Amino acid sequence: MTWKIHFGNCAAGLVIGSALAMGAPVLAQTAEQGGTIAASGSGAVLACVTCHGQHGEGMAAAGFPYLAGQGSAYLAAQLAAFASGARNNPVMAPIAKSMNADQIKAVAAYYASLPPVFDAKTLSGHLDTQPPKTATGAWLANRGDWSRDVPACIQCHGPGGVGVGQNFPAIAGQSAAYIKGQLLAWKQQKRDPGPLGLMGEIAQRMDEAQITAVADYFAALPQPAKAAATPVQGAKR
Amino acid sequence: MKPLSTIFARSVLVLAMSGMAPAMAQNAPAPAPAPQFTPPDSTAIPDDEFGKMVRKGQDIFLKPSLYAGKFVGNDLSCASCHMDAGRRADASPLWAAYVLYPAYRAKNGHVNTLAERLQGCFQFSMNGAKPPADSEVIVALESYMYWMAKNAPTGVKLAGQGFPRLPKPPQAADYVRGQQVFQKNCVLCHGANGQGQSVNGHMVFPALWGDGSFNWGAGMHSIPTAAAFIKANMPLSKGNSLTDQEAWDVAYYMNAHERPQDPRYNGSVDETQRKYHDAKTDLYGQRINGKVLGARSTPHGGKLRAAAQDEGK
Repeated sequence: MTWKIHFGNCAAGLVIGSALAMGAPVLAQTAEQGGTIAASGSGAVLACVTCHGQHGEGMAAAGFPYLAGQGSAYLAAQLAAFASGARNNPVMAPIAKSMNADQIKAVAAYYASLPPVFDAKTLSGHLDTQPPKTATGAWLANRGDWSRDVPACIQCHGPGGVGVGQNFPAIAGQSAAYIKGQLLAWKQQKRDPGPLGLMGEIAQRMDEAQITAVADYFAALPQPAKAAATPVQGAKR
Repeated sequence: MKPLSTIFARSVLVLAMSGMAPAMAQNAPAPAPAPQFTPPDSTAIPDDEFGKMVRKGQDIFLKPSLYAGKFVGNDLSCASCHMDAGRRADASPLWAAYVLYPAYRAKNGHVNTLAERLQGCFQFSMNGAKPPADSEVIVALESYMYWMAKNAPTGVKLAGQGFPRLPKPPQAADYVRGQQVFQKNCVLCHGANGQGQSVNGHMVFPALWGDGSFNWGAGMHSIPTAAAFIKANMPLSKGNSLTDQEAWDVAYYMNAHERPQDPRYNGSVDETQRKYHDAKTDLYGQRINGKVLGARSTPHGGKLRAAAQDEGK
């Protein structure tokens, strides 16, 4: 997260022309190049906006994920995995293969610099310590299923699933089809298990009903979270 | 190269000892296995006035900075170490702790009630202040524990109690090896400087050392305790994936860093060390990488101290 915040500050700083640390203009330039590729493509690289939307918001109906605000390291790693086949995706594979390292870096920096599709401040205040008994998705998301060694999703993806730092992507508001597709891909070992093999192993311990429930939960979360009351401040000073 | 005679002598000794083991077992009565216990399902908190207090305890347990902020000096959660909201075996589960109090504790040399034990969590692990024993915070946490221990036998160590102690490592725990284990397995979540990660002010991955972590009085600053916790529970969802040696080494590395001062500090690191940290497995007061641990600690109290200073202005 810190990385993203720094980046945002740097980009803003460049606009107002204030003195900046040495690396900042280079970074902003990289993101700008990324923005050009995203909007217009480059040679064999199809313009990202075609499927991921004008503002990186994705296309939920088609199962194309949002990219806006995701960690640049995460995004770059995914492009590399599409290219190598570690993440199996027939649409992304040829596109990623035709990108060079600089282009990958630029596009990842660009999407990381865009504001997320949800209200991150409100959503990260979301706290549901005791979901209704039958709400399987909410239980998995907020408390996990430790009988299967499955931690709560929010323990790595952050409260409300808003994403954490460079390596734990936001999942709130991704389409149910996309989330389910990814969890199944991990379960069937068609997607690289990710850092430390964490996500691949966790998905393998989930059953399909749990996968469907938790995908539905996060797909719908940004809306109810906006309506939810902020938790009582308790005995805070 | 060791002299052959030494190796031979050791082998004989090992043989002799292994031969002795069954004989000893025959003479001494085998210890009864620790009773198994399963807490009530987490969805089964009763929907009544008592249940409301249990829920309150669970809320405090999961997010103490929000629900008991007056007594909490860092951003850690009780559930940072007590996995699955205090339900998980081998992660110091609450149901196993509940049935062991009141208890004599060498830490303070007297019989502690459960309330006093819980106060200790706030003072040390949460780097905060003791909630009064009759405060709602303590009543709520006790209610949560009592509910979770329903039907458990009292006064016995249940299977899964505490963190399973590890046998002594083959090699003495080592900073450099620990650093390597840390970089490979821990940095992803806890950050390169052990500072943890938050999002919009909400802690996600706890700080392992530094001002935002537990203080020098917390149980987790002891290397055997940390090694036991890490082995059984870390990396999250991959418990028991590290070797014993790796768990010892990385526990040493974690606890070889500075953290908030021990609340029992009396102005002298030497005296505090002799009085409360006189164990080889406790690095407080020891010189690591040229610096005496505890000598540069921020006074205990974290956010509470900062808030008190603001009020004083």
